Amino acid sequence: MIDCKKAALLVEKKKYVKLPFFSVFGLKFHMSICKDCRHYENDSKAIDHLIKMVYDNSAKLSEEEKQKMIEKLQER
Amino acid sequence: MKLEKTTIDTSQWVQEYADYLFNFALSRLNDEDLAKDLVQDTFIAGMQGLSNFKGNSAVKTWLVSILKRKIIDVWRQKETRKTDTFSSYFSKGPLGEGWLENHRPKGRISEIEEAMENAELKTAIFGCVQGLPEKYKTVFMDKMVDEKDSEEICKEHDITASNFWVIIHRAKLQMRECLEKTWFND
Ligand SMILES: [Zn+2]
Repeated sequence: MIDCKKAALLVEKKKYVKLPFFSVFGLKFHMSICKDCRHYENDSKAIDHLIKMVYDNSAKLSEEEKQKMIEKLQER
Repeated sequence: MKLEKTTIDTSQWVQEYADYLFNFALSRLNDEDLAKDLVQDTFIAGMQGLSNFKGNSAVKTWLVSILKRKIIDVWRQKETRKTDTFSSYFSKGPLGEGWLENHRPKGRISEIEEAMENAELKTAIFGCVQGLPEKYKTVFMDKMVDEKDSEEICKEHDITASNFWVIIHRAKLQMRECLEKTWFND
């Protein structure tokens, strides 16, 4: 039997790895009877999305800042 | 120090890696000035440590490892007591471990997305990530933000695969709860 703690772990895991058949089945069954875990899965996906949006890694240093860095390095 | 190694063009380093390192630091510290300083320090440490650079890893990987140590130092300085509240999310019942009454997910996080343009939301998310214990934070960021390979992360942090999943799981639980509390004020 998969309980809520295990279900929440599997929800994370299945995003990245293929779960064994019995886990897939057990998780499906648990989800069908547990509203809390369905909510958890929705929340978890929403968090993934939020994080992707917030941390977009698109910040850039200006050429001027880079030049400053190079100068400081050459001083040494 | 071998002379030939010092001929590596460090200005080339800045052009090639500065933006990447800057984003790396910025996402983990949420402080532009500090991130810039650490990138600069990383290049300096990189130059000074050039003789230790074995050349068996990419320069980028090597610089990132220097930067990572610096970020962890900052975290440690700032560290107020962070506790892993994991044990308190679930309780044992007849059907195994179930959600504790006051920790039940309500499925409301997706409502937050609509407020994405809101600067407060960004602050809330950064705040919740910052609130994770150090080890969770590094692993979580590597996986969620840098989308690094799980095996690679395990190797780097010297943890087992099951340990890795537990960390992701706990970090996620804490993040979820933190966001809910911060955003919906309850
Ligand atoms: Zn459940």
